[in-house]
Amino acid sequence: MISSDIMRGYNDIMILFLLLEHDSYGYEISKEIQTRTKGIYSMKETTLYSAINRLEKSGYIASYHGSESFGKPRTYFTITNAGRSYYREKCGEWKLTRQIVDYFTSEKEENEHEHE
Amino acid sequence: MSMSKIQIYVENSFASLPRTKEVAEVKMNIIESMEERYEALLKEGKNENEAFGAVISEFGSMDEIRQELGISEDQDSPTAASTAGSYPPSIPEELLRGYEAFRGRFAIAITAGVVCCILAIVMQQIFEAIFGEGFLATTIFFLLVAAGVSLFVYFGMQKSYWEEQLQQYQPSAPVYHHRHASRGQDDTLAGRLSGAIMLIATAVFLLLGFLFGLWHPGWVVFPVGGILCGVVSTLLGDRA
Repeated sequence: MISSDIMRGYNDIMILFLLLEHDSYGYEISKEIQTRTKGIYSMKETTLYSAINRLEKSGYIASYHGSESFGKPRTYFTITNAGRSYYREKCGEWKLTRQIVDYFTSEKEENEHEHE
Repeated sequence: MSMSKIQIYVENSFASLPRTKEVAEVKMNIIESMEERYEALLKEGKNENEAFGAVISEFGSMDEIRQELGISEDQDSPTAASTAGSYPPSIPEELLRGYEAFRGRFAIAITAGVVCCILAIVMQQIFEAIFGEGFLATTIFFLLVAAGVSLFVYFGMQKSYWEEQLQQYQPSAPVYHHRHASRGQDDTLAGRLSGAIMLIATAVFLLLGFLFGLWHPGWVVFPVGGILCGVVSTLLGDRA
């Protein structure tokens, strides 16, 4: 299982990505993350809401109260313009990170290592 | 509306955090989301326990919330250190153990108190039979009653002290708090009622004796009082 330490920096990306598609609420966001990663990754409630709290404080997302068809109150989140540019910035950062780490984790290197 | 299991769980986990608007908001959102996940699981056909277990296992860690909201443990109430990241926010182990030990002693003390009161009558009768009615029989009687009443009063006070200690550690843990509080009240109540019963019995006995000279049938108030004490403490759950 993937360590939450490594994922910490990228929880923001996942949440923002989903909010770029449409406004959403906590349970839907965590359900979507699980579905889209085919169950490999699921975000804990405390992780999700820590990230949401941080994003909201930074002005990248905003919340409003909506209601479900059965009248249960629900807090929705929507991405702001600052959030959009923060998302693009994070995507750029990830591409660079991946490129760097890729240099050291290519298939060839791994195989050579195994044959030693 | 009463609190759901999930609400209680989350409230307990958050109990040691300062009550700011921000904390309240995060807490409310988590409850909302967990409730929704729970209902979805029920719809999928999971039973309540399975669903609750699954939801709880997705809760995460309070350390994360603490870090995120910039709450260091030192700034917190003394409770924080002992409850950090654990569920339910717990009473320190030594205190709990001390309390359990005390509950054992308390039960014995109350029983001893009742025995003292009954013994008072028995000894008085025996002394009367041997030495005749007089100073010795009366003295042994009052000494034993005094011992019994002292036990009730002293342990009743100790009980209140322990209850206070415990409540201090459970400021906002509704379920546990309630349980301890009501149990505690009942126990002290048992002690107090027993004390009161024996005091009244003594008063009735003295009145009957001095005013009407009815020492002889008057002593029945004590066995009756003793039995009442037993009944009261049993009814109010004074079982270790």
